[in-house]
Amino acid sequence: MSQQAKEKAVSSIYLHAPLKRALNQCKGFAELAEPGSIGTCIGPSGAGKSVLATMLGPEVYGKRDSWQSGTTPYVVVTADNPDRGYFSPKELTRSILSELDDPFRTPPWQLEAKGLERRLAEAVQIAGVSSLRNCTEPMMRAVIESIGPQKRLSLIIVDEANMLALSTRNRVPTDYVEGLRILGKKAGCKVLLFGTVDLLLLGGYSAQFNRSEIRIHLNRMCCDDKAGREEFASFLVKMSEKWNVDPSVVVKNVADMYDWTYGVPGEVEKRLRLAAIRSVGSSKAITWDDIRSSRPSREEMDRIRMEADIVQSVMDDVPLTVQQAKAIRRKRHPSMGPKRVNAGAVA
Amino acid sequence: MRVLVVPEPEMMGTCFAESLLSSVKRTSNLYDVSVARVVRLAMTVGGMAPIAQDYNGLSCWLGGSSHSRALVAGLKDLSGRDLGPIALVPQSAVWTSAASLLAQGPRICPECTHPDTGTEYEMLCHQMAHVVRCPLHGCMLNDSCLACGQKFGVTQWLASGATCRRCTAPLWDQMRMCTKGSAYERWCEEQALELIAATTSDEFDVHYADWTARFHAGAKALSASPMEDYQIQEREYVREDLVTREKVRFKTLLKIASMQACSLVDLIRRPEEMLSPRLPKVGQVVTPRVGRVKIPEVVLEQVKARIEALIASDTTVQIPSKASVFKDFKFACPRIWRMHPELSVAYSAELRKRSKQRKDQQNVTASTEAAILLRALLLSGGGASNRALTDCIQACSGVTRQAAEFGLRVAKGEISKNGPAWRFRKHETELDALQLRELMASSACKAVEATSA
Repeated sequence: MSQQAKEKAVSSIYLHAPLKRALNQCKGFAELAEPGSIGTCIGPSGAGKSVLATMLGPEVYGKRDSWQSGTTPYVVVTADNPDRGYFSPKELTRSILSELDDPFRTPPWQLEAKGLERRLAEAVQIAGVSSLRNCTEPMMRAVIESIGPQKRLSLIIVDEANMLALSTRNRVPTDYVEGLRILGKKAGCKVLLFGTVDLLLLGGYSAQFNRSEIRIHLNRMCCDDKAGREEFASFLVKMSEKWNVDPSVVVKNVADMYDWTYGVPGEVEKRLRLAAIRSVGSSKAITWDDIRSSRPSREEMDRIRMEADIVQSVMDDVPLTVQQAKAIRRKRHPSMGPKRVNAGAVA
Repeated sequence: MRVLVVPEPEMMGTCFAESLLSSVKRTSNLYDVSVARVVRLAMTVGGMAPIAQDYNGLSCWLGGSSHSRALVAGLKDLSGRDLGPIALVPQSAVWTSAASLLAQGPRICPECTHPDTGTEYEMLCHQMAHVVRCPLHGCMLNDSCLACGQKFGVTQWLASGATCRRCTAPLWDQMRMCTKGSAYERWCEEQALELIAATTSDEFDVHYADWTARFHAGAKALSASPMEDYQIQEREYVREDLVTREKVRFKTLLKIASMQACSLVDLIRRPEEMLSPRLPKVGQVVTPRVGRVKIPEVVLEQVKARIEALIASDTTVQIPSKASVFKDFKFACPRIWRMHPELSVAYSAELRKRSKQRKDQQNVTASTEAAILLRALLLSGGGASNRALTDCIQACSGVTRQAAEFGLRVAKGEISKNGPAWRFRKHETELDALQLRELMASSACKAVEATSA
């Protein structure tokens, strides 16, 4: 998806209360935190972290067109597991360099996709200067450290940061986080990680890291009080408008919807999308039966609740239940590598 | 959209301004890639075909050549930074080639390249032909290793912590010495430094492509400067050139013209009637050919008459060489030899004949003088070295050194009067060897014949 299309999609997003709260906190982090700080935005899967990651930059630093020429105030990169299923810090570093428009390490078509003049992109291709051969990670980090201040880089946003936990044998995921923190410190910018419950494993291992870490919670929509229920209902109405569902149908069944989705926005969207897919063959509009038939299985619901509750408990400093503690302990197992067990299975 | 970060050039507007290649070098350090890759990218964007494994015209690192222009244009497109002034591209309106102002190879200041105390960039003025000392440190610029004499190359110049590529001697550790230089050289140096300061300054808010406007702006700004001083000084340089070289070198005039143009003191592009008669016109600057000056027929006739008179003169008079014939004339017209080949041949023969005659005469005088001197030495029972004897002969008879040496050897009996003895002896030995071979061959033949019979 091109940059413009992404920005357009983000602008049409409904800001529910938890998302708004997290966005404000992230803006505060981007504006007030010192260079070298590392922020972690943790929330259950589907809470809107990727949306927030895309939305944050334009909110704080304005759109790309309004930037001063030659500057890149923030970059958004996605952590990946391209190296035999493991996280690769080299690939992440290369992504940051690519976002900084390094013509020597970015393929020409990527430069063109980012809005570079076609003539320049073609020249880069003809000159054949973009090559990743003999590019080591320390070399690329040194380039970020030297170019970052020149480009006035202020914030590195890493989406899907829970991928950092997919470390190879003999490595612990915290090494990568520490590496990112040092990189941010040397380049004079802040680092903001967006991730799921796995990201909790990375924190709290050293006082030095804790001092520079700022934790932001992107919560689900809790229906414990009246305001929360109203918020969830209005969100449902917005979503039903988006998917051409009669709002009265979903509003009548708010309790069921909450039970299935546990107030996670991504889950609501998934149920409605599934209902829309189911009703494609029929000529009539999406009915409650379509939505009910697309409800999650018991295991899925348990999984959603478990992840959301663990994040909630850790953020609120509430003692974990036995099951939660077991799940976390399993994640903290030292042999976190190729033998890493699926933490989704309930112990 | 700007993709490349090019650091801001240092010390713009002063004589310590950074050079273009230094800026490219710092960019390549920023991206941790080779200089060649940055240059290749910039030149491709600037509209030139990329040349692999080559510095792609870095030899013209500060001139107004097409390579430099493409490099500057590409860097501007990629980074938005205009490096035209430090490439001296503005001066391309005056010079078609920067070769007259450039040093033959890269030159390094040992103080500037010091890893601890040196500057972080290379200066533009170090590469100017007229600048022989670093203006910052006052030490002499090296263009070759002082330990082994190896010339510096561009690649070595670009390497950080430069060492000699043959003997690996660290260049910053080499001898430092100040040069005095002639007045002309010092003047040239000052002008070159002024040129850099004027070109890289952004004081004049005129784009460098509009050279005339910039020129007028500069002339207006410098109208208060004492122009008379320059003119007197220049006249002195031209006179010095006349005395030492017998004619004004075109290069000198070109240098003065270009220096004046660049330091914005005199206007090379002024209307023709306002142009100083001492300076060549713009067309002549572009194609400096002496043959284009049309020599009047009267002068040619005068030269021809003079040559004929010289041939017909007394044989004892020494006539000048073919190049010095025109010494007293306003124009040097060597094409007269092509116009009258018979005159040329006759003059050459006469010149050769008189030269040989004079030489023989000197040899005879010297040998007579040497014989007298040796006889006197024998009678007195004293002795003297060959050098002292040669000096004595030269002083007494007023012959050349060569003739005096020849006379001494003749008097000592080392060589005959007719020619060098060694040549004769060599010939003799050769003859002996030939005869011996013939004898051996004939005896061998006889032996063969005897056996066959």
